[in-house]
Amino acid sequence: MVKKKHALALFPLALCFSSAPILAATTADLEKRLQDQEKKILRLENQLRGTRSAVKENRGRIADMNERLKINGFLSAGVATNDGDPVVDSIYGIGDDYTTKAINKLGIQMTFQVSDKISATAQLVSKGIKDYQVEAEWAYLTYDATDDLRFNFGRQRIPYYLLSEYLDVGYALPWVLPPIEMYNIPISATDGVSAIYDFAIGDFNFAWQTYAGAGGGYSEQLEAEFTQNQSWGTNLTATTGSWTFRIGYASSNLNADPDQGGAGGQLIDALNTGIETLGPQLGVPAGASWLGKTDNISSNYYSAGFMYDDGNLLVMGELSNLNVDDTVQPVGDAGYLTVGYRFGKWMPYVSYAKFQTDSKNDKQIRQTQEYADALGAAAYAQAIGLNGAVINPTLATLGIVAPGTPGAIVVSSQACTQVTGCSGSLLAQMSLRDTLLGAASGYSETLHNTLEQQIQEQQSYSIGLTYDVSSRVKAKAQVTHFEGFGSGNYQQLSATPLSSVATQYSGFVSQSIDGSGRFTGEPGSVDNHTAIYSFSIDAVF
Amino acid sequence: MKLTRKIVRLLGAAGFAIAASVASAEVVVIVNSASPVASAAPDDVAQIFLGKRNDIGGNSLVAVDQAEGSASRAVFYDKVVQKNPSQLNAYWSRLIFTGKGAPPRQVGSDAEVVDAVLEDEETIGYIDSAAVTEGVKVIYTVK
Repeated sequence: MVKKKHALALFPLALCFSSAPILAATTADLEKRLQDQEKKILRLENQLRGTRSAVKENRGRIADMNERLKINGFLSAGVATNDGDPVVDSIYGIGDDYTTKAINKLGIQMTFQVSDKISATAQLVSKGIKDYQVEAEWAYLTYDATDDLRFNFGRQRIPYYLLSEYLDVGYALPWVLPPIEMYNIPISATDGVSAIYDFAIGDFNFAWQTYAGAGGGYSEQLEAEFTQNQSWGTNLTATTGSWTFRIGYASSNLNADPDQGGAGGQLIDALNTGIETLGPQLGVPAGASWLGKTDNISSNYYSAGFMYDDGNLLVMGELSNLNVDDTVQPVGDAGYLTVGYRFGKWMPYVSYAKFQTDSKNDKQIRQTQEYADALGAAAYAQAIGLNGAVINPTLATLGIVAPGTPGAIVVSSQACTQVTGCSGSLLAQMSLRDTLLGAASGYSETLHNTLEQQIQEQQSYSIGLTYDVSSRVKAKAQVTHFEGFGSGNYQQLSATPLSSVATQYSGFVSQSIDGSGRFTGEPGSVDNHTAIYSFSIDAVF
Repeated sequence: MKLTRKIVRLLGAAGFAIAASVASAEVVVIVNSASPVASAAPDDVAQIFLGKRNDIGGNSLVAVDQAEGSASRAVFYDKVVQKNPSQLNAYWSRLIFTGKGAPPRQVGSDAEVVDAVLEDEETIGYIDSAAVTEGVKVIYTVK
């Protein structure tokens, strides 16, 4: 028992001694097995690699197609109205009825990567304000000459403003509607070429863009089609941290084609009639040589803007000047400042904007008015002279008026046709007198006052709220109060009816009336202020 | 020799798995191990993902992004790029619709980002640190 015990006690020791060669054998075996395993793993790995690369290749093909053609879109839907005033904003057509056309738009953009360096892009936009007609706002080929320099060939948005190129993308704008004081140039696209060069200096990243091309557009205010020849421009954008700065210049040669009978058409027709026939007949000296000019009008546009956006605080502002040579257009100085602050999904914002017509353009309008007034005054003087010297004395012989009736008392030809002895030559004189009186009111009243309305100013205060419905949808509401329309001197040919056939004329009287800024409507109709309420849902996809 | 290497490798992987399971919510910015880029400032990484630059220290890099809805994406854009999804969409729509840029290529998962980075020495991506594998290099850990 004891021995056994001993033996048992010794067993682990014996095992210990005897196990040395066994362990050695096991290690060699294990190493061999591991080597085999390793070979197997290697084989499997190779197999897996093959499968993986096949999967990758397939995936690559799909990704390639997916990446070659990119489709993006944007959408805005909403409603706007003013506070019941009898004026219509001339940019978006917002009046006292609820309108959805001012805001609704849909855009689809397709970009196809033709090769490493060449891509084709088309952006089709359907806008309410253009009666939902689908237009290609952008359609161009891009050639990436280097990583930093690229050229676009084709139709492009004219980069007038800080935000002009994505003005249709409501989602990317802080407002429901951009400030109409600034964002109102009727020509938005140009067909041509642009070059964009990116470079960096220190912490600043720069993008320098230059374009040249031809384009066109329609001005609702002047009811005229404009074509732009030899238009070119350049702008420099600098970004650093949360800041963006931009300066720009654009130049073009304009040809205007006013609608027959439209605001601009009537104005040009009247001026040309004055210059070609009425002026020489009345002995009115010719006005400025450019009066009535519609072709080869040169325009210059200067702008500067900045944006600060640190994720919470948004501050942005722009200033611009547009001036046009040798014509009467309501263009000029514009600017705005917008401040917003994000509280999570909400961003309230306030905005101030101002516009006033350029002093050079004001001067051109005044020069045109002077010519119109000279024509009107000459026509009036001739009409009253003819009436006093020839018509009234003849009418006195017929017993229609008392002898010595002054020229300013005008009796209608109707009174003459009612009596016997009214001669054809008298009727012809009266008809000439009436034509001259018509010309007097046409030039010194209608034309003068239409021109007066082209000298414009206004300012506006907006308050709005943006809400992130989802990461791709925003809802916005905005109220804008417009005021500071200034006043103008409006002329009227003063005529007091004496009887059913006689009228007492007392020349032109002028009266100061409040304007309506860049809104179309009768002067004084809005008591120098109005407001626009707007709401929109904006999405990108 | 071979055995010890194998054991070290196994232990390393196990240790990694444990470490990863402990700190799983960490997002890291990765490049290919062969890339000369050793580390990056968050601003530089953000600028690459916003298309504002295409290199770090002169070494050209192309971003590969993750699709919306990915957990790593949410952390990355919040902490590194510092833009919420709305701000990011507004940013890209300004560039997309003006032909001035396009967002980085998107893939569906951390593993696919790793694949893309392994495939190309000039690719930069972000993943959950648990998805880090051999062949990729962490150049920034999102704090």
